[in-house]
Amino acid sequence: MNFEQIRARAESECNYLNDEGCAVVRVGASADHPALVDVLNRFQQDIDKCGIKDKVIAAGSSGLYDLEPLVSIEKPGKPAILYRNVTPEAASKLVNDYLSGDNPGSEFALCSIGGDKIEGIPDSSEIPVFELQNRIALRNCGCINPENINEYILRGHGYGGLSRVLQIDRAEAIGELEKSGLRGRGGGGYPAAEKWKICHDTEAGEKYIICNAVDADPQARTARLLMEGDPHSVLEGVLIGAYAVGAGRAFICINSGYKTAIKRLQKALEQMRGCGLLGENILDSNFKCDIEIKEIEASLVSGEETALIRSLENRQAMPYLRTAYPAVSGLEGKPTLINNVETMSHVSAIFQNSAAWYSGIGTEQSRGTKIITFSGNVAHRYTVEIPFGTTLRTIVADIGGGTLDGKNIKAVHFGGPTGCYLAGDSMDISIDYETLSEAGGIMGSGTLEVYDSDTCAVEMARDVMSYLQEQSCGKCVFCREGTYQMLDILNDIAENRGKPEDLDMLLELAEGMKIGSICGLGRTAPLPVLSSIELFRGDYEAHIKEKKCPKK
Amino acid sequence: MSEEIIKLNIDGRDVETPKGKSILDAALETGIYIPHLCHHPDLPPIGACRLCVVEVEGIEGLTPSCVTLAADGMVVRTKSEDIDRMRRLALELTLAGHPADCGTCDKYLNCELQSLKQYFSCEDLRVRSRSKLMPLNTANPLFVHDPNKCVVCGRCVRACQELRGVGVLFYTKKGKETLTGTAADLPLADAGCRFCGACAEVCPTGAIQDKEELVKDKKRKNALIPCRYTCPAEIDVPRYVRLINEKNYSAAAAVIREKVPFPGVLGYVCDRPCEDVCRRSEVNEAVSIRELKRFAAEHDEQRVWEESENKKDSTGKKVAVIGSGPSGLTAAYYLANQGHAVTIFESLPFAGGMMRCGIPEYRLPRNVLENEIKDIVNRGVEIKTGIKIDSVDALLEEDFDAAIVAIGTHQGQKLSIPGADGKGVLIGVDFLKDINLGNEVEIGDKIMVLGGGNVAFDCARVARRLGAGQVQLACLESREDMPATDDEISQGEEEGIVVCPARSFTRILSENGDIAGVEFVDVASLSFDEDKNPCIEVVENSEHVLEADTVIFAIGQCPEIPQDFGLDTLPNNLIEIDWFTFSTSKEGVFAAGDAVNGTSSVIKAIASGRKAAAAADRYLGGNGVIDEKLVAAGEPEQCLGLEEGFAFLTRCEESCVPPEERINSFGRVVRDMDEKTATDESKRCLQCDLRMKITTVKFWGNY
Repeated sequence: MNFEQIRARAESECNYLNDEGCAVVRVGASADHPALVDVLNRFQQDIDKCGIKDKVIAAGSSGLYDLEPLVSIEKPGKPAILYRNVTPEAASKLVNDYLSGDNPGSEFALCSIGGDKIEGIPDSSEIPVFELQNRIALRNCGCINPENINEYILRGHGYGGLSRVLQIDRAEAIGELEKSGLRGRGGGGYPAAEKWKICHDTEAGEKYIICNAVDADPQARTARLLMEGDPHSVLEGVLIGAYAVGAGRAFICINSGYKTAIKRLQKALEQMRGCGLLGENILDSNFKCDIEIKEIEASLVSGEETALIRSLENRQAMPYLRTAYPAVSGLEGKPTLINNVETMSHVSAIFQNSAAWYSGIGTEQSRGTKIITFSGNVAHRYTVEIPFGTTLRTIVADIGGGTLDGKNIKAVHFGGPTGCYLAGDSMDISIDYETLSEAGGIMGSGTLEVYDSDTCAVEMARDVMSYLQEQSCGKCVFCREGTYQMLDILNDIAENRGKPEDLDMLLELAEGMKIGSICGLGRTAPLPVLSSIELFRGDYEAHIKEKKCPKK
Repeated sequence: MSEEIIKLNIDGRDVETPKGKSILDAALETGIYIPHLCHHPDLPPIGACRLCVVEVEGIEGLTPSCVTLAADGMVVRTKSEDIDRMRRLALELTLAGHPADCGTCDKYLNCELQSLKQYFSCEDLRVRSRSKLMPLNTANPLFVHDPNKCVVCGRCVRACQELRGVGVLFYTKKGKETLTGTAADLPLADAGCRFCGACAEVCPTGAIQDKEELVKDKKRKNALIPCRYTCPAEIDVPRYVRLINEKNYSAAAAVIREKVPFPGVLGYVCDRPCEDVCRRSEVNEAVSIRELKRFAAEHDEQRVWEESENKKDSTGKKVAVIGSGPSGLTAAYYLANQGHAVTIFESLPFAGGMMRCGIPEYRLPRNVLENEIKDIVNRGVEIKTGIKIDSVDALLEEDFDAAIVAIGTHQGQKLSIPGADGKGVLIGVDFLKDINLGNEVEIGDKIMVLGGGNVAFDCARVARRLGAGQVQLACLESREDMPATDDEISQGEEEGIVVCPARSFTRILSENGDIAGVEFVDVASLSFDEDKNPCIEVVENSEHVLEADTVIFAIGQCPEIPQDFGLDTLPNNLIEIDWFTFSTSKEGVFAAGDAVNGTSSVIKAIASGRKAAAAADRYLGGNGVIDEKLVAAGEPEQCLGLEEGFAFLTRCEESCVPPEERINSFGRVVRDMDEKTATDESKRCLQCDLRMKITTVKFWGNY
């Protein structure tokens, strides 16, 4: 089937989307949300009872976990309205009032999206979490049925990016990606097109592509969100990448704990096959590619590129020192393009739209948007997507709602466990690769953990080091022993047994780890300690000199 | 294609190295030492220990030299303050969790970590040292794992995974500590370990070591490849077992023939000292090495050994060998190979010595022996049977340049107890000789064999085959200490021989001139004094009589040395030789085999014949190197691969004809092994010799 045929079939199979007499109810929540099934069932039961033919769809999560189940109701000719924290009772009420009747008002109404303003319900532009986000990678999350490829195809020109790229040559495709300015979202921000080009330029009989969907940082939920909510945006990106570099086999390395995501991914692959989007002659072209799923037992190092390759080779998932880029010599020594889920979802968006469109978003050096997940002492548990250049304040205060109890922010730990701390008084820092790097930090997994002013910096650093020590794979001496020593020292300082020279040793170890570790985890593991000493030396000195915690 | 040579500069020295080498290897090969620990010449580098960091012009910071390829024009510095600081910190961190008690460690002076400590003069640590306080793991066969000494260099993991392809060792975590071990801490056997020893071989510290009792006070090769180096002839057991596994039976037989001219005979009758020490027996049971040897010998259809003609040109020298037993034939074979003209003189009508006139046919089929003797004759050895030599001097005076006395021990003995000289009392070796030469021997129906060695069992089993209804065997030794081999005892018992151990014989009773029985006392303990004379403690009032009408003494033999030989002998009548030159008291006369060693095994006699041949060759002006290369050595596959359940593969015992059937004839007892069984059994070999292929690491003092 060619793209037009696929689209026509999708349209006929998803007639509810254009049915004048049919409203569409989308219940968005993480697959494990306790109320999800009840709410879905209640909507369906009550709709059936009322004898109306409105369509109920289980959508994935939008990332706004605190608001789930987040229900969108779109009646023909009316703007969609979002309802938050919908219970089964609320579902009954919505069917009764709005679907059967015409009263959209409800204490659960959050906002309307687009179209005319509805009395008593704010427009999404008035709500910071909607107004301040720019959802590209997450464009479909919470908006479509992830188990129905047709919804992906119909919404936002799904697989149109692939269809288009198959009509240009590989170099041109890479050129387009280059123009978009996309940088890999795996953490380091390496220019995506450059990686693709290296892989493309390496001559080999066989090439591979690996999509990292592990969420090695357990606080990150990017892979889960995308794979549960919109697997095709990633899979389309994977196929585009495979075409561009000339790979015939792709592997989705997914966190083995993500059972629903794996199930949906399998279903997505089946449906792709049914549409001629996998295997030989994809979209009637002579491009062929297959995608396989590899379940990965998640740990902090498991998502590291070289560890991922080891996993695929059925070996112990441990990083090794690269002597060549995986794009030159990766899986089984073949050129292997490795990108993570977020990158791949951007790729499909770029090719569905245009490089020019994409490069207009974000900052000069960091184009586009970034998925950010909140944790720690923050009012809202969200995963959101913001344009690069958004300030930390906007993200934490305006979107995240500040600290839970309204206290001042002492620090934000940005970029995952090995990221640096950003002080509460430097909240105007722009979140983009360059600025974070200048601050001694990393973009990393894009998670941020908020600490309020009652937190002691030593304990903060000790806790994260305890986690890093546990997660260090132990292969190289600087990471294994460095984290061990640092943890010992931080424990001593936290328990007021520290000596002044301990700080020097921490700094010396940190320098050693930065240059002496095999992988990114080890090289960045000292960053939280370094930044916490730099920002909050007073807390350390209080513990060491005054033998007491400054916060107790 | 010649390899591309690149030039780089290390510490001001211009160094040439083939393209593709790491900076570390390029430096080490030129004699420039760069400290290293996780690097091992046979394993892929991982850059984990950071002791090998160097500065490379144009590359910022410090570079691990083990994982960085040397490039043309590269300028490398291996010493600077920055480098030293980094290395010291790396070493301190490595030592942080390692015990400081080098002096009490088994690896003392063989430990790479200790050597590095000395190199850096690293005594006090600035980082925090700790004791892991983990238990020593001695539960596995062959190896001891001391996690406290592990510095996580990862060599064992790489050896197991990359070198051997077995992959049962991983990096593991226990609490806060990283270690190496099996998944879920499984015992090695359960994990699928092949017990190749590569992990212990590459471990730079004392973390993985061979069990002390297996290696202590032993030479490395004797401890690690005990089958080969316990074999008196040092047959390369692992190599031929591997060839059998590769179904290359002719090459396997050739490997055996590199050391002995009797692969077939040994396949039947070797007392297999190799199996007693087989390291596989620590895992479950020893490999059936003798069975495999017989299989190889009997499947040597191509006879590739013949293609490698090692026979040297004629030296014009002549050697006389007296006696055609295993030692004499072996000596003759190798001397002929060395280019000497060899004549064997045998007093009996057949060649083969004890292999022919001692060992019964059911244990060693005649054609096996005859064929192997034929091979020796084909090498140019002349055998003159039925000729008894009375004087060595006469031989030397004739026209022989040297002589080897290999007359064996054919003189049987009786104990001087009352009744021993009566009618119906036989001597074991004579009895066997008569039977084996086809003479008629009269025996009764109730046989009592006195003695506990193989000769005694041979007599007993022959008696059964001659139709004796009741055969008993009594000996001084306790059941456990009987000198006969286990298979002789068990096969004998299957055939109905009743074993009466721990008994001293006091007299032979007779009635009307016929033997009626033997009187015994029970032995409480048996020991031997310095001169190997038995010291017997008997149980008081334990006299008892066992009924018998025929008594066969099988209590040992000694050489029958013709008086005119004029050779010095020992008090036990064995020929005295110089153990370095194998020469007797007479110039140009050498001696070998049982006549020198006392009654012993075929393989010992063969080994003795080899040594005497080498000595005689040297005496005659040769180089004394008699070993043959009959099959190209080849590089054995280092990668073993994972084989689940490997440790539990059971030994294939020899298969025998049922006892009720075999006592009816002198037909052979053992059955042939089929090919699948042979393949399976050969697969059980641990291939201990592969460990020797692993490159020995040089310490810094050697650069």
